[in-house]
Amino acid sequence: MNPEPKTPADAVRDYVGFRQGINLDTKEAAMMARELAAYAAAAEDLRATLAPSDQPGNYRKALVMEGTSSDEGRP
Amino acid sequence: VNRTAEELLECSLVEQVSRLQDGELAVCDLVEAALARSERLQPVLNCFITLDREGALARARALDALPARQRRTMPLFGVPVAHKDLFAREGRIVTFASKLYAEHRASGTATVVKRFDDAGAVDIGTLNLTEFACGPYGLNILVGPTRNPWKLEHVAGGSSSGSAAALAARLVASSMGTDTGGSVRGPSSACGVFGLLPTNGRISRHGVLPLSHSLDNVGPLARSARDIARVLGVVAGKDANDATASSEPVPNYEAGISAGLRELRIGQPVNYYIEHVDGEIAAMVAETAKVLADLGATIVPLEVPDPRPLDALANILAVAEGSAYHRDDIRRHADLYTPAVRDRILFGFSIDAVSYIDALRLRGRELHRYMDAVFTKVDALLLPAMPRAAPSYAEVEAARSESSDLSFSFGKFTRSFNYLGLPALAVPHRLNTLGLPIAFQLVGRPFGEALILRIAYGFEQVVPPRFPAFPSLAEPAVPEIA
Repeated sequence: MNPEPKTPADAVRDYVGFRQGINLDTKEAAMMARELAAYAAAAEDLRATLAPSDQPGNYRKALVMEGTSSDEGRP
Repeated sequence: VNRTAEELLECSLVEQVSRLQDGELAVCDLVEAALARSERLQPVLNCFITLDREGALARARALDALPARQRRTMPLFGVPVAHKDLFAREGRIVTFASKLYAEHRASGTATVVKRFDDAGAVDIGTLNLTEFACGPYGLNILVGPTRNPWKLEHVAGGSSSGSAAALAARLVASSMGTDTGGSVRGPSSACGVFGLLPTNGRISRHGVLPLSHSLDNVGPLARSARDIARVLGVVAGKDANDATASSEPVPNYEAGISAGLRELRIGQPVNYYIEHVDGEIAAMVAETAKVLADLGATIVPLEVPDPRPLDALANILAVAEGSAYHRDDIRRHADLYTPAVRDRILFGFSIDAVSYIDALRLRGRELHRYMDAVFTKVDALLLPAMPRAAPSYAEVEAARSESSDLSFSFGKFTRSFNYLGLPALAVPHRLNTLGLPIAFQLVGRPFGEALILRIAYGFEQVVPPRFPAFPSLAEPAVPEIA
């Protein structure tokens, strides 16, 4: 077990060390990377059309508004 | 052995409740039968992480002492249930199928567990799963994986593997699982039971270990559409302990379930879902469409948006959020993680923040687009649940050795609906030529669970799952799993 970092600077150094030590040369990581890469172009097409009005908070609203008309006008 | 109790274990949840409420059988007798069967099959199937004989029988005795009037107010009166070991119950050990939490005692109770209790269910134990609900095959180094009751050398799906297998083996009447990319629908399909991914926010997640807070949903598994409707009515709805639980009113899901399919338009995709699927499963979906048409529905062939970019966006969210959640544990105790789970979680640290935020920003807009493209034309979609039947553990191991894409292909028809937040129900159909269950999937509008349950119920009345008598598993040869 790693010792607990004592100061914020220690915490940053500890975390950076952890990130640098991550082994992505694994079978599971290779599968996931290939999956993401295979669809990356299609996902990139969507990302290229993002507008400033597309914000994370819109999702919950969209879900309710698409689900029922009874929600129209709900505060 | 109480034969009546043994026979009742084979019945649906709704029938079990009805006969227990009528006093035809004592709750104690049914629970004893469920415990005995679970204990007998545990060395074979490995469904449970813990079995709580003492607690279950004490609860059963308390229920038997209730007056008839009170029994009838409890929609899950007396039925044996168990949930994925991801749901907390105060004072009980909840392991998440992790060595790291093998002795972890919960400090509170999950909202859905409490709602099951209030409805009269008897919780008989905790069910096996993929470690931390991360992966489709039930792998964990704590107790080992669950075996598929229909073919023991095959996976039971995942991550809610114990839930689906316990239902298929008639050990419990219902179980709650979680679904982040297919973790209820996948095992349901693999084991031949019903499993629902509800609309995002339909069911409280309070007291359930998260994997991806954007995509996680709690969902019920059961052996009939009406059973799912009953359970959904019990657990759905707002929760003061979970701000993400929707305040949408909860309808009576059973009330209109037998209304039939006339005037319904059911979309059948002419792209993607027919291009990447096993031949037997494609034929099963085509047969299903014909049955639904015979029942009065209009089948509408249509092109649906390609789910692959949505899959990619969902994966970005899932792995990044999973890594964020596990950051401290995996940093300190990586050696206590199941290797396949550890490597998945570590991969999430390679996702950049801009990609993650874009995936969140696109979600609302893509839901609007999907609704315009699909649900202005049809009321529900009919798809295969999985592209193939459950693989064997040997196939899974071979794929992992070769770093092939088996694990991803198993969930490629399910994950996009977690991203969109749409309800989707896995419906068992029959066994394939290898003797493994195959299933289709019905997808609905947001908060449209009642309608897809109605379609599934209509189908089930004319084509109940065509499975042979369940194997006795009396003296099974238990294959070794590497």
